[in-house]
This record gives sequence, structure tokens and C-alpha cells, in this order.
Amino acid sequence: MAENYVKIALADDDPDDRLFFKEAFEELKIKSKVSTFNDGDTLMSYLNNENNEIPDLLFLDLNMPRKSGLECLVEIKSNDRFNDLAIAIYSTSATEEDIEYTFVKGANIYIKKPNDFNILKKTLSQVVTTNWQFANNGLNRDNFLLRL
Amino acid sequence: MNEFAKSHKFLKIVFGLGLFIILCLGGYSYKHIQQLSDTRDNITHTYEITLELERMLAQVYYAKANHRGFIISQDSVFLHPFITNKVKIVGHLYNLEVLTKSNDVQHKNLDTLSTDVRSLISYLDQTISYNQSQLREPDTLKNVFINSRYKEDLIRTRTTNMVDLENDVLEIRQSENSQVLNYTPIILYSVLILTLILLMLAYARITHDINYLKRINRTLDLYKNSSQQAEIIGQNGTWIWNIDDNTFEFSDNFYRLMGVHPKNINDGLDTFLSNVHKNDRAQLKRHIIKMKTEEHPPFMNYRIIDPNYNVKHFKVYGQLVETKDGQKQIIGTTADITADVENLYTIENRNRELEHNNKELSTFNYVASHDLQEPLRKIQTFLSRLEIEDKHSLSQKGLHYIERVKSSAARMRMLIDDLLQYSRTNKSDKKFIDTDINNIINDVLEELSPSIKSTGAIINVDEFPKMKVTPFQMHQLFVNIINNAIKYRKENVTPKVNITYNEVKSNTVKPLQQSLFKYFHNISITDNGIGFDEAHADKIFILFKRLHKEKYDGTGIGLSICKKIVDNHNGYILASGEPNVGAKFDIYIPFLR
Repeated sequence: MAENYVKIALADDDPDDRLFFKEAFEELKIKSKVSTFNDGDTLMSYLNNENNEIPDLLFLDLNMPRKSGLECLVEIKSNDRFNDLAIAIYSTSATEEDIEYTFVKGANIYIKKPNDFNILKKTLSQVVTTNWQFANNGLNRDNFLLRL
Repeated sequence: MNEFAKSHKFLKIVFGLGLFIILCLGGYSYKHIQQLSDTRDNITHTYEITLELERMLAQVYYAKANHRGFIISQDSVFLHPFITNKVKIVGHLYNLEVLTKSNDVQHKNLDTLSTDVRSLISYLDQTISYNQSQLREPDTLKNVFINSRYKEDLIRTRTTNMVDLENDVLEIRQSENSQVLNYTPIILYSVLILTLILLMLAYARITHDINYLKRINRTLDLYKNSSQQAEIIGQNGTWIWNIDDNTFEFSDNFYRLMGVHPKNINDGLDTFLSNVHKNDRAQLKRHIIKMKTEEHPPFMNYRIIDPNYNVKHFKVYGQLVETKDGQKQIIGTTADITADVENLYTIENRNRELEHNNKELSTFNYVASHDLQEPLRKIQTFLSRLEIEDKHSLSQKGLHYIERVKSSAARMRMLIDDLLQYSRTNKSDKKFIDTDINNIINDVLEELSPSIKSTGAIINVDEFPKMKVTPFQMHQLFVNIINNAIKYRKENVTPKVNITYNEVKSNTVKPLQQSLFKYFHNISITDNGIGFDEAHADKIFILFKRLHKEKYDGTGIGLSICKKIVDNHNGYILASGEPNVGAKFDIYIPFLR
């Protein structure tokens, strides 16, 4: 049963964004299980607990209190347990430095939060339906920032 | 200097030559005086011989007279003087013997003469010794007298010959000497003239040298004056420190720098050091040791306290030199860099302020990019939710209001994006890379393809060379200008954009003439849009300046960004246009050959 569901996690300190995110997946016709975390700390303590399931896809906000998305990214990438975990950066801003840094640190894709709900839905559906195991083979700096 | 050395050599030669000539002259004169005195001696000699001969002859006559007297009178009164006469004759002969020693001919003559004289005397003596009876024999007496008479003639002839001979010798010698002596005045005179010429040459040379020295002195004086002025203008002073006797020689301006009247301090090093800021004293002492040992010591900065207790910043450089007599000196220059140091402080402070401002600005950028965008994004997302979810429960008016809010929010987003773009177009991103402009234009056209497709715009692009630019800024530049060309199109006319390339020299385009660069890439972007009034050509690059506010959407930032990008590349952007005909943007990017 579990195989049919895509396990998706989001770490974002903004309640509105978490709401949009959940609503978008509810409206999308994708079998998914979405869990949200209020900040980097709670995300990491969940992931570091070996009893918990590792999600398939993690959406990481960069600007969070206590533990930032960048710190989470570095921590996750340094742990072999999360080798199969695809990471999408999910941020309001898309500065060159952030894009460059997260790319170098091994994130799979960079998503700038859209300002239209329909575009959000489209974006998320594209990211979720991508098979990241294969997509990573063609990973490059130019298509790292998701453009629709 | 070379001329001077030559002159010195010349003078030496002239002096040596003069000395030599004078010595020769002396020797020559001496020789001539010698000759003259010889001539005088010869004359005296001849005269003495003649005199002696005459005297002897006279004594012979006396003797004969006395002899006759005696013969006639037989009185011994005559006999006595006769004997005296004989003695005198012998004496004269002896004298003559001595006098004629040097002349063989004359000596021989004298020998014959003295033989004759002696034989005459012996004749006379014979008759004297004759007794009365014998004297009575006239033949005997007569014989003696005839003989003596004969001898007497002989003696006279011989004497005359000798005198003549002596005179001849004298004449020959005199003529010999007079020949030499005749030349003497001419030689002496010409030598004198030669010496005078040499002296005059030397004098001329010395005068010339003195004038030369005078000229050099005048020039040196001028240099001294101008170097004093240079010291005043340049705020520096020179000094010489005689290490061995620990005395200083300061230039006048150095005293001014120290803030004291000239010549008010001239004691040793310790007095000087007492004016130096106490925190710098030890370092300066160490530096002085360096100056004494190293050939090229580094510069050193130190502070002094002037008599009014002002702190002054000095920079010093000194080098060790050794004078000809082995004295050690340090020759140095000290500059007053107080103004520079103070300027530096001011600039540093300003830089710090600027850095601080920049930091604030980048914080603002972040706030604008993140914190301002986030609520706006949410407003827009919520609006889109509202539009879809509650479309049916909203009134017509409500839907209209939502539409208005959406467009305002969109406009705000555009403003924020453009402002961010503008503030991010910084010079600090200036990394010029050899870039293929064709690729950039292709990327831009790809990016703008939705609006190109929707308007059916035709875009012609020349072949472009590689340029040294910041690629993403050039990308932005093309986006903004091509976007404008399409945006400000005429209604019902297919937009046409021509992008052409030329290489130009700075002197062919007026605004480029003030540039330091000689060669420029000229990118021209021409459209057939609504154009603009040429009078506004300069205004369109000003931030928030908009020419077509009523009909077209815009922020008035796009062209300002273009201007900033071109400025970053040390280039120029010029706009020209005609209403309802089109606009043309000329971009000039400099490059080096």
C-alpha cells in the first residue's frame, strides 16, 4: 500500500505557505502523503529518528528560524541514510548566491515560490512526477532553477 | 666638465712650455755673457801682450842708450841703470812667456824673440866687459855695434810681428763672437715674443674658463633657487648629517617644516630626536642605523612635535655617502606628509562610511527581495485562491475589485523586481569575460519568444564578434531594449527590430571623443515603433522617467538599468527617435587592440 503513495515533506516556518502547499496537493490528483515541519529543527529531529520513515521528496525553505534550510541541506547530504532523498529548495527569493550555494551543496532543484495558486499546483506536480533517480544523471547548473 | 678637464691639461702644457723656454733663455743668456766676458779677456790679453812687448822694447832701447853712455863715458853712472834694464827685460820676457802660453805660434815667436833679445844683451855685455884697449879697436866695436844694430832691428820687426799677430787673433775672435752676438738680440726677442704669446694664450684660456665657471655658477644659483622653491611647493626639505662630528646641515625649508626659524637648531642628533614624537623615537633610531649600513634603505614615516605642540607627519629617505676625504655623511630628504596622512584618514573614514552604507543597502536589498515579496506573493496567491474558489459567490463588483487589487499587486511586484534589478546592477559584479554575444542574443530571443510570437515581431540580427563583458548584465541589457522595442510598437504594424554591429573609432562619434579608449563596439538596435521626441532623448535614461505613461505599463526603471550596465562597461548609450517612425539605441562598448 505504502508504495503507491509519494511521501512528501515540507519544512517552512510560514503557516500560509504550508497551507497553500497542502491545499495544492489536495487538489492535485496525485497519491501523496504530505507532512509539514515548522522549522529546520523539528525537521531534523524527525529525520534523525530512525523509527521514522524517510520521505521521497523534501521541500526546504531557506529562511527559517533556529535551523535554516541551508544547514538542513548540508546535514542531510552528509548522512548516507538520506542518499535516496531528493531535495527541492522552496524559497521566496532566488538570488544568484543562494542558487549557486544550494546547487553546489547537492540540492536537486530550486523552486521560487510562485505567486499564483494555479502555477504553484503546476510546479509541484511537475516536481513530484519527475523521477529524481534518473533526472539526476542529467543534472546541470542551467536547469537547476525550475522554470515553467 | 670635459671641456674643463681639457682646459686644465692645456694650461699645464702652456705652463710647462713657458718654464722650459725661460730655463733655455737663462742658459742661453748665461752662455752669451760668458762669451762677452771671453771677448773682453781676449782684448785685455792682447793689450797686455802688446803693452809688455812695448815695455820690453823700451827697456831694450834704454839698455842700449845706457850701454852707449857707458861706452862713451866709461862712467859707472850708466852701468847701473843698464843692469836694471837687463833685469826688467828678463822680467818682461817672463811675463810674456806666461801670457803667450796659450798660443803656440806666439810662444814660438816669443822664443825666437827672447833668443834675439838675449843675443843682443850678450853683445852688449861683451862690449861692456871690453877694456879700454879693446874699445880702441874700432873694428871690434864696430862689429859689435853692427851686430847689435842688426839684432835691434830684428827685435823690432819681431815685436811688430807679434803685435800684429796678436791683433789678427783678436780680430778673428772678435769677428767670431760678434757673429754670435749679432743673433743674440733676435733670438732673445723672438723667444720673448713666443713666451708672451704663450702667456696670452694661457690668459685667454683662463679667462674663458673663468667665464665658463661663472656661467655654471649662475646656473647652479638658479638651480639652488628653484630647488628651494620646489622644496616649499613640495613640502620637503633636505639635510646632511656629518656622522663623524655629529653635525647637521639643514635646508631652509627643513626648518620651516620643523616649525622653527632657520638656523635655530643645529645641534647634534640628540637635539633633533628630542623633537620627534616619543613613540616614534626608538624606531627612527633603528632606521638611522639602517641608513648607515644599507645601500638602499626603505622610506620611513615618523611624527614630530613642532614648537606649537602640533603633530606633523614626516617621511624620510636618506643614504650614506662618503666624501673624498673619507668623512661619512648621510644625505637625506624629508617630506611633510601631514596633509596626505590627514586626507588618508578622511578617505578611510569615508570608505568605512561607504562600506557601512553599502551593507545597509544590501540589507535593504534582502528585505526588498525577501520580506517585501513574501506578503505580496501571499496576497497574490490568496487572490488567485479567492478567484477560483469563491468566483460564484462574489458579486460582479467584488470580482471587479479583485481584478483591480490583482493589477495593483502585479504592478507592485514589477516595481520591486525592477528596483531589485537596478540595485543589483553593481559595479562590483564587474567580471569581464570574453563572451560570444551571438549566444547571449539567442538566449534573450529565447527568453522573449512568448511576446515575439504573440506580436509576430521580426528580429534581424547581425553576426557579432566576441566582447569582453559581464555576460548576465549584457543579457539584461538586450532583454530590456528588445522588450521595449516590442512593447512600444505601433498598433496594427508588425514590429521590426534590427540589431546591427559596427566597429568605430572614438574620434568619429562625438560623445566618445572624451573617452580614454580608442576603439568601440557599436551595437545598434533600431525599431519601427512609436518612437519619441528627440528632445527627450537624454531624459529617457533617468530613473522613473516615463515618456508614455498613459498607454503603456512600465516602471521607468528598464532603461536606467541599461544605462547603468553600459556605464559599468565604461561605455556609452545614446538614444535617438522620431515620433511614429521608430527609436534607435546605440550602445558603445570600448575595447583594446
